Amino acid sequence: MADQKSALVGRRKAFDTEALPHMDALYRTALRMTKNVNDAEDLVQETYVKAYRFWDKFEPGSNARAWLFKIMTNVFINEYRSKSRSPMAVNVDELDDNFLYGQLATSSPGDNPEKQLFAKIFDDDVKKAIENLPEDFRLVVVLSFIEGFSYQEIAEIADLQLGTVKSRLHRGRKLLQKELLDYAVKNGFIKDTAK
Amino acid sequence: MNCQEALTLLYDVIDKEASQIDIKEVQKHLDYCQDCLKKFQLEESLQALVKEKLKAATDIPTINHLKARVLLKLEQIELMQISSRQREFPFRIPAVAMAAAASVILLIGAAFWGKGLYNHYTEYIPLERAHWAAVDDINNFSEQNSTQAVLAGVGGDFSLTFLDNLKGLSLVGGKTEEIKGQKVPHFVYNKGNETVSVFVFASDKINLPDDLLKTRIEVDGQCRLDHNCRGCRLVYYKVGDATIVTATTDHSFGLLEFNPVAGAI
Repeated sequence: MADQKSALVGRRKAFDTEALPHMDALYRTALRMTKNVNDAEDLVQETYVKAYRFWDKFEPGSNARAWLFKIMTNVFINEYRSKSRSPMAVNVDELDDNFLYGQLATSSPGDNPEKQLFAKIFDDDVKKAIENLPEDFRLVVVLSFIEGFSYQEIAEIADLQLGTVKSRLHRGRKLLQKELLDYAVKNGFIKDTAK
Repeated sequence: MNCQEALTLLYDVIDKEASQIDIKEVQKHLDYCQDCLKKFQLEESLQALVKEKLKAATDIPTINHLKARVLLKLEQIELMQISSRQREFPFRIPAVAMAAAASVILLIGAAFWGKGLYNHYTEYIPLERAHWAAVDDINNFSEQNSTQAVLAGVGGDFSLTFLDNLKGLSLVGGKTEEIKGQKVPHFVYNKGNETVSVFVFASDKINLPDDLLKTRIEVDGQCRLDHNCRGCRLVYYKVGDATIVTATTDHSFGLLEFNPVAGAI
């Protein structure tokens, strides 16, 4: 019994050291994915509960952060993903790769038009822009932009082909640019030259 | 490298996924192509913007709160693991023990996360009242009923035996109380002014409020949940598929170590 107990204590210690420090990052991503505080907290908690149960399957020395994100992504997809997946609001493929560049170049002169524009955008507006992305794109954008995972890591976390990660990231970027541009136009930061 | 080739590699370069050779080639192109350079800068700025605005989006109190919540949940899981190890104690474990354990997990989960389930009056006061009644009229327990008979009286499937003497206190007797709509065996130990009540619940029929779970403490390899109230102190712990609740009005009494179940420690 003493052996069992010390094994339990050791297991817990390893878990606390390896897994708990990533809570901040997990919560940050959970917030963007669930779009609300309560679900994000539940999602992170459930992720840790699952991780703890499957801790024996974690290979010591491997990437605990990616492992935790993979668990969280699974939980999210299985339990939190919105029941009716929102259809694409825009046809991404119609957007020119460099449409934001074109818009900025023509509407706001100067050396660094994007810097001038971005300086005016608040945290909340960026959050909104991210949260307006369809879930599939949002996940890869958050994992890449905010968490800095590599394409290969994202492929493993989200269980996708490498090519799918790249194309979703690409289209997510374009959508994000469109969101921010719409926001900037609406607030009169730049003129809408598209119309 | 022409513009088309450079722009194809744009995201790979920004995401640091491009090879060293590609990065060098793109850099060469950007050195003389202002148009492409601006496009690269725009994408980089966008990425930097998102990163900067969202990286520090969570504040410390939120994370601390969440961390406490997660740790508590892990404690609960451990509590279940430790209590399942108590099967090694020499008690007869009925076949339904597994089902009971499962329902305890569900019950505790529900009790813990359900909002507003904590209720001092419904959870603790009935036990405290029963204990106070015993203190006031110890004679009610003076007929030394066989503990087995009392336990059998509630139809529970327990085979617990109690020590006659513990910490200088003697087992006075037991009877069945009606507490929260259940029949609960209630035993009393006494010496002078010191009286300790011992209640026995089926683990799947007792609610453990979330504030109680936070008080988890380990004593001799067993978990104790310690509720300290003005009028009474209650200590909960598991033995087999039973949950024992001990009660005393003397807060200085070593209630945490008071385990009258024979053979458990």
